[in-house]
Amino acid sequence: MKRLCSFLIIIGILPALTGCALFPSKLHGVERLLVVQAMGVDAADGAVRLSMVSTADSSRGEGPVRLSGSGATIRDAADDIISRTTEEELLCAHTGQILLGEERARGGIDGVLRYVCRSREIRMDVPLLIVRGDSAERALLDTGDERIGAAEILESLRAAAPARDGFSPPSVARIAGQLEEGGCALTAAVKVTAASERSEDGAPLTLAPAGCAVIRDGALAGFIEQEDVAALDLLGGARGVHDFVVTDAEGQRVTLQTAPGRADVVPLRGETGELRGAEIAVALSASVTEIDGRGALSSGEYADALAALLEREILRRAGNLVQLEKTLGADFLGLGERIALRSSARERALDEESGVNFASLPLRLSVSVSISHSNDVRDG
Amino acid sequence: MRTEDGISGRQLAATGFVLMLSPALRLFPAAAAAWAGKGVWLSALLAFPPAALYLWLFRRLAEKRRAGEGLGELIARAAPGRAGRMALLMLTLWLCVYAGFVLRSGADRLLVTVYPNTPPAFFILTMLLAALLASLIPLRAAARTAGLFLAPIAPILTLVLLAALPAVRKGNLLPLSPADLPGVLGGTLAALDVLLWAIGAAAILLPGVRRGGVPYGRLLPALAAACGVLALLGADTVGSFGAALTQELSWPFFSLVRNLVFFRSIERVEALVVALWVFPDFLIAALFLRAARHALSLSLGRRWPLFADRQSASALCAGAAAAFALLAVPDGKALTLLSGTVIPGVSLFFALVFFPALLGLGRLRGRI
Repeated sequence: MKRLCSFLIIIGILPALTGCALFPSKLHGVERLLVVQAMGVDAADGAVRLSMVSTADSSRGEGPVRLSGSGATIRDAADDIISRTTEEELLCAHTGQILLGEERARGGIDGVLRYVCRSREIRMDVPLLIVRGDSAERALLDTGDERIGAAEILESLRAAAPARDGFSPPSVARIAGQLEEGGCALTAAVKVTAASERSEDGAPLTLAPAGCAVIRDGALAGFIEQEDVAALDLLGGARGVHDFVVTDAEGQRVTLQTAPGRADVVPLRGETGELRGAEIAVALSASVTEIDGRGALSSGEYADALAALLEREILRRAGNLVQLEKTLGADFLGLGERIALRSSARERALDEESGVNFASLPLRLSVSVSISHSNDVRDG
Repeated sequence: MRTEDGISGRQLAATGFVLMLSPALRLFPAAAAAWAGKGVWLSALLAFPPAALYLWLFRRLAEKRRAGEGLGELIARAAPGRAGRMALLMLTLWLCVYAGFVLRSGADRLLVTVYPNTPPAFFILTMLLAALLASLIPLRAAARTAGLFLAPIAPILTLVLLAALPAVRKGNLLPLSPADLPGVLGGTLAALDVLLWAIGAAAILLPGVRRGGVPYGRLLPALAAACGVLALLGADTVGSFGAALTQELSWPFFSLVRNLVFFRSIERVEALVVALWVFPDFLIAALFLRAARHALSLSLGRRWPLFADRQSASALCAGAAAAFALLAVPDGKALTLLSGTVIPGVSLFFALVFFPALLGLGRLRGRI
C-alpha cells in the first residue's frame, strides 16, 4: 500500500515537471490558438520569406488563415508574422508540412534543416517538400479557396502518395541524416496548378505532385519527372502498387497494375573483386485493370505481349532515372548502400579504397513481368 | 535476498540501473556514434563481458568489507595515512564535481527541451536543495526510492524504445565489416564508461549491504538489461537519424521522443519523458553528496571535527557542487566539453585506474 501510494505520488508529480500550465488562468484554450499546419520558406533578396497556413475551421465557418512575413532569419520572419497578425497566439507544434520554394532550395536547404532540428516546437519527422518552379509562399497562400487551404490539399496529397507512386515525402530528420552522411537525398516536389483544366485566369489554384527533388551537397540539384517516380519505387524494392498504360498491337489502351514484387541489386565484380558495375533485376506480376475494347488474355501470346510492353515501359522510365543519376552525379537510387549490403567485408573495403562513384557506375537493368489475371473479367 | 541492513540485492540492482539512465542518455548515443557509426548497437552488446568481469571483481572486493564498511573505508584501509587521506579527498572532490555537473546538465536538459529562456540557476538550486535533504536520509531509504523511480521509468523507457524501432533504417545500422571493429570497440569504451560508472555509483550503497549481500546472480541480469537498453538506444537514435546527425544533436533520445506518435493520436510526449529523467539526476545528486560527505569525514574528520559533523560536511559538499554547477559551466560550449570529454574521461580514470590501483595495492599488502 505504502509503495503504491509512493508510486502514485511520483506519477502525480510528473505533469508538474513537464512545463505544461496546470492553472486554469495559464491554460491556452485551443480556440485562442492559431494552429499552423503548413509552413513555407523562400529566399527574398538575401532575406527569408516565411509563410504559414492553418486549416479551415468548418465548425465555426472560418476559412484557413494565411500569413506571411520577412526577416533576416527564419526566426525574424516568424517574429514579423507574429507582430503583424491579429491572431492571439501561433502554435507551430503541429506543423505537418514544410515547403521550400525552388529558388531557396537551389541556394541550399541546410539552414532550414538545422532550424527544424533545433526547434523545440516543430517535430523533426515533419515532411519537407519542394515547390517546383514557384515559391512556397504562392503554394501556401494562393492555393485553395475560402473553404480549404493549402494545408488540406497537401495533407490529401500526402495521404494519396504511397498509393499513387509508392513514394512518401521523407522527413526533415531523414533528409538531414542522409546529407550529414555525405550522400544525397530525395524528397517530393509539388507544383502550383489550376484547380480545373477549364480554369481561366483568376480561377482557384491547387497543388499537384510534380515528381521528386534530388538534393545533393545540401542544395536542390534537379528533379525526377512525376512519370518516373513509379520507376523509382520499382528500382528501389518494388514495394508499391503502380498503374501503367500501354498500347497493344491493335491500338487498344491497356491499363496494367503491378503488384509488390522485388528488385535485387547484384554487384558485378572483376576477377580481383573490383566493382565494375551492377545489375538491378526487377521481378513483378501485373493484372489488367482496364482495356479500351476486348483483350484476349486467354491466349498466352496476348498476355506475353502485354508483359513485354510493360517491361519495355518500365525499362524506359528506369532508363530515365539512371540517366538523371549520372547527369546529376547523385546516387539517389541508393546503390552504394545496397551494394554494400550484398558484398563481403573484403569487397566493401576494396570499394572504399578505390573510391567508387556509385552515381556513375555502369548499370544493367532487367525487368521481368508476368500477367497474373484480369480482375474478374474473362477477356477473350 | 534481504540483508540485515535492509538493502537487498534487488534494490542494489535497481539503484545501479536508475543511476545508469542519466549518463546513458547524455553520453552514449552521440559518443558511441562518433566512434562506432553504424555499429553503435554492437558496441553496447560487446560491453557486457568486460562490465560483467568488472562487476565480479567489485563483488569480490565487497566481500572484503567489514560490517558497515563502504568504499571509503576500504580505501582508507588500503592506503592508511596521508596517501589514503589524499585519495579520499580526491574522491570527495570528484563526487562534488560530478554532483554539480549532474545538476547543471539536468538543468540544461530542461532548458533545451521544455523550459526555454529560464535561468539554469533556478533548476540547479531547487534540485540541490532536494538532493541535500535526501542525502541526509538513511541509505536504505535511498535504495527504496530508486526502486520506486524504476517503476514508472522502466515501462515508459521500454515503450519509447520499442515504439521508435519502426522508424529505424536498416542502412543506418548495417552492414558492418571487420574494418569497423576498431570503431566498434571505441564505442564499447563509451558504453563501458556508462556501465562502470553506474557500478561504482551503486557501490555508494555498500555500507547498507551486509557481507555476502551482493548477489552476482541478481546483479548480472540488471547489467544485461542495461546493455540491452544501451543497444536499443543506440539502434533507435543512429537508426533513425544516422550516425552523423546523432552526433550533432544535443539530446538525440529526446529528439527521437519528440517524433513519436502512439496509436496515431498521442504525440508530443517529450515533456513527460524529459520530466522522468529528473528522478535519476535527483538520485545521483543525493547519493553523490552523501558519499562526498562520508569521504570528506573519513579524510579530514579526525583532524578537523568540522568535517566530521554531518550537517556542516553536507553543507560544504553541497556548496562545492553548487559552485561548480553555477560558476564552472558558464555556457553550452563548456557544458559540451565537460559532458563529452572531461567527465567521461575522469569517470573512466576513477573506474579503471583509481579504484583498481588503490584497492589492488591494499589487497597485495594484505590490508583488505
